[in-house]
Amino acid sequence: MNHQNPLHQFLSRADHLAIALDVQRALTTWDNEQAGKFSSPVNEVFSNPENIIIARAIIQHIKPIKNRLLLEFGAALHQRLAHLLANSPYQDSWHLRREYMTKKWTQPYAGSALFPKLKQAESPYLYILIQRNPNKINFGISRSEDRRQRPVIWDSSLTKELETYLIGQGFTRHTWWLGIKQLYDMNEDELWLAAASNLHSLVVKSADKVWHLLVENYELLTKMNEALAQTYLKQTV
Amino acid sequence: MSEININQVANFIKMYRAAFLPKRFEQLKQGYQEVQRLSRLEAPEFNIFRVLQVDRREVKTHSAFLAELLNQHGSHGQQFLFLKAFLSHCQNRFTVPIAVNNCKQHPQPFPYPQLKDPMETHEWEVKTEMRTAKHGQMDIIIRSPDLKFLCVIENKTDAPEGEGQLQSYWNWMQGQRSKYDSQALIFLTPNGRESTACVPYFKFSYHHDIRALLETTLPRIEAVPIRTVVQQYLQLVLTL
Repeated sequence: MNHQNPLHQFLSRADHLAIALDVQRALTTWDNEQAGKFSSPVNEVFSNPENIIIARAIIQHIKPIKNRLLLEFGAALHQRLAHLLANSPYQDSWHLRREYMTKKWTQPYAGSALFPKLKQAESPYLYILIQRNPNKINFGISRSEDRRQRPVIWDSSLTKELETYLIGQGFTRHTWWLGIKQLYDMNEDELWLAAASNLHSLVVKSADKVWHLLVENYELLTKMNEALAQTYLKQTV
Repeated sequence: MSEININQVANFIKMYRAAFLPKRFEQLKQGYQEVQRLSRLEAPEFNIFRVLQVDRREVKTHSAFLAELLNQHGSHGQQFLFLKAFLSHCQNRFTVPIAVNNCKQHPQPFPYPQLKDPMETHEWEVKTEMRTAKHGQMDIIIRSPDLKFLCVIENKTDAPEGEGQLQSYWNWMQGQRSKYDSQALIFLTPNGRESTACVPYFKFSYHHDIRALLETTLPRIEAVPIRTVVQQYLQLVLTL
């Protein structure tokens, strides 16, 4: 089903998509429970068998619409970050890459990452990452490797300082992440309706959150990445 | 007055959306069924070139289709409609000398045939994939022996330009000077990109020139099946 399909276009409109998403939720619950147990509005819709047929046809479009919106969102977000980086003082010391996609990854859009330009290519580093998993799009500051692999390198006083700051900002810890926070829950409607109604505004808002993380922590991140490189060098000599 | 938090607002919206589900679904259903009805009537997505997966074939689809249209004896039955429109478009488009990279050439305007009599009274020939012994295979050739007019079209939709390709065709055309002294070499690409060749040629694009040619002729096509196929071809051209 491509996006030139007129039905796909019709249902991609934010107001139509909002109804389609509500219908999908109601129909899924209807299928799983016995009819009659429901609130009167849901019963009113699905007591007519014709409506069930149409509702099923409508919700067939939701997955391809979400996939397309996600691809458009990912591409526009990456472009916006590239623009912010190109017009910033960090353009010589950081670069932007699309998040790595494994061969097993069949979903559209994996994410984007802002990496420091390293003097030692092999040394560990911290970077800003936006990463999509099956249910969420998260962002935060990530380690280039699992903390448990080399805790001596990762557990410095500088790391603790940044970690404390991130926790104060609502981020949570993870073995790979110094701090991770949800950007969007893909099971909620917010992302889809915002992408369908005003993609540009959604992208600006999302990019600002990610960009803010680099701007706010730029000096600390630079110090930490230098310290990580030093510790790594000492350990490998 | 107590403050309302964001969760209360979100819950209110959910309840509102649920309460009005029957009315909202009815609106969506009507709109959806109307789009379905229009799709059945007009099938705007259907494109025979895409269905048959021949939409990117440079020679077998694009050269063949364009040559068939330009051929006054073509099965389209519209006689000189497309050839006239093509020559007229070239004449209007290339009134000023073209830029020929940085080569020191002396480019000329398009050599529109000097017709004393109506076009129909002259002999015209349109060929595709014409092989020559030393100069390779030319995509489309339009010529009129009695008007001494020769036009060679090199068509590139996806493939990169062959090394020395345009130069080779130009050399072949020079050998035809005694028979055809009005000559034009056209380099046709999706966006009208420049050739690397250092010969006088005209940059032609699918997005602008072929589109204009098809849009100009569409209202004058009398056969409904031809109009439908040309419309579908026009859709395809815009996606190249």
